[in-house]
Amino acid sequence: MTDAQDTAPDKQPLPRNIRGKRPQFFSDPAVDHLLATVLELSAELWVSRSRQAALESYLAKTGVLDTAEFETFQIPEEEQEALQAWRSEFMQRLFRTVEGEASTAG
Amino acid sequence: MSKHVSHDLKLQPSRDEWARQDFVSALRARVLNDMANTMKQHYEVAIAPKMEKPAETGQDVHKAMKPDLYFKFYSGLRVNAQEMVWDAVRPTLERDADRLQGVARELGEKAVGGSISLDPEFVVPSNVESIDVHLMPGSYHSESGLDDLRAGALYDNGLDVFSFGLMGQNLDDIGQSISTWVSQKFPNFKPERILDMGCSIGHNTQPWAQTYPDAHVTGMDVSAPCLRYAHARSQSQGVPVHYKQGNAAHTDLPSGSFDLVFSSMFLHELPKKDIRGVFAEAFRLLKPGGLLLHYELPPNSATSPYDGFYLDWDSFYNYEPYYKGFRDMDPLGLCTEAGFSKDQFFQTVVPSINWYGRDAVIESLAVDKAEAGDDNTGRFADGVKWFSFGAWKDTAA
Repeated sequence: MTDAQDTAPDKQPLPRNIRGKRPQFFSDPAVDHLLATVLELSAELWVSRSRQAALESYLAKTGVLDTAEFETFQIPEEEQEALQAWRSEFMQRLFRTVEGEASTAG
Repeated sequence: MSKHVSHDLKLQPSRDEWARQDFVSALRARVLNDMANTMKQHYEVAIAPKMEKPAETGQDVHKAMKPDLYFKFYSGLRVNAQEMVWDAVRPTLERDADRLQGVARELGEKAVGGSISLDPEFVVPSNVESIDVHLMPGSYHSESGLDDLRAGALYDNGLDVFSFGLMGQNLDDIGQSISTWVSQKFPNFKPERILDMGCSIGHNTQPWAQTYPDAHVTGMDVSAPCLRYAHARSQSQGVPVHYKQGNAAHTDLPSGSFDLVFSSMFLHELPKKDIRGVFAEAFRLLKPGGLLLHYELPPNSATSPYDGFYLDWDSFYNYEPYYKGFRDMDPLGLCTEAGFSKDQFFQTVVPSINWYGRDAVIESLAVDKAEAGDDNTGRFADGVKWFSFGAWKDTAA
């Protein structure tokens, strides 16, 4: 710990990747990376599905949803931008192992 | 997931973050229970019969399993699930960190009776400093600025995701089960001063203060951010614990100052030299008639070759380089080398109090012998039991 860090108002972000090499199990390292990607996709599918289930349940309960109108509904532009930002962050998660390896010496 | 972190330092995940944690917990349960069982059957049916000679050690099994596709997928999934544990908590923690620090500051003022003592000159030992143990990015000691407790928060919430409910409502099942076992097994033993070595966030330290409310309980660890978090956590829960930064292999505590020296899941994080150092130090710190007690993984000598392989997986793939080294050591030998008498040694398996209930812990009192070699393939498979061993320090010592 240095004096500069002691007085710094903002903390360093927590690291995302470990120091050192990830364990590799397959003869082609691409398979190990793809496994990570598939799992992130699976996690996100669950996140979306669980959110959607909660949302539909809530809307049904409160009588808000008009299902016919909903099919053609366009979300406002700023919301669209937020959605795209989410997608960008999602892609970082998808490729975390490939990018982690590329960003460190390991 | 964070549902078991219910104290004032509880994070506030969004619905999606919560769902992501939930997914990782479910993934781990799938891998550590279902896939682990399948892998064992697969070994017995498809791998073992093709081996030139029967496996004698865990290394033999490991060698035979390494080229196997099921092993590769099991291992790949388990590594990913481990990484996803931390990755599912980190964004919530980063967003919530400032609030958390404010909460911790306020908790420090609360009149609970606990304390924290950090040493600004302390040098973190290389077994923690130089590797990201448990694939936790930044390891347990990293800090950025004074008052940083994020490593502790990452561990508390990560452990919750990791353990998918098996560590109890306060992640303190080990401490609760074992302190209950000790208090029932030795009703005349009334420790006044208790030390928990390598306490991290104090989750298994607190139960000692709860089981023995008149005792002065000290939790020692090398990690300042974990100790800051531990202190706030105990303050939040109204449990007086005294946290102190230090290296358990050579503390600055006075000789003969403790009635009970405990550790949980600690020894396997240490190089062999430090493991021996911890035993010698515990012997020095204990009063005559005091009790040394460690919760740990069972030794390789007490497990089948397959179970040895299964438990030592972490040593090869989870950044636990000292895990197998510890499991190759002999608990009795460690105690006697440090000065404890052979006839004062004991080992046992304590049932999880949350999994089996308090009555099961009490029923287990009749069993003095370790059953580490039973059909329990791992820490989280087929029920939860805590292997423990230790020794009484001779009253004449």
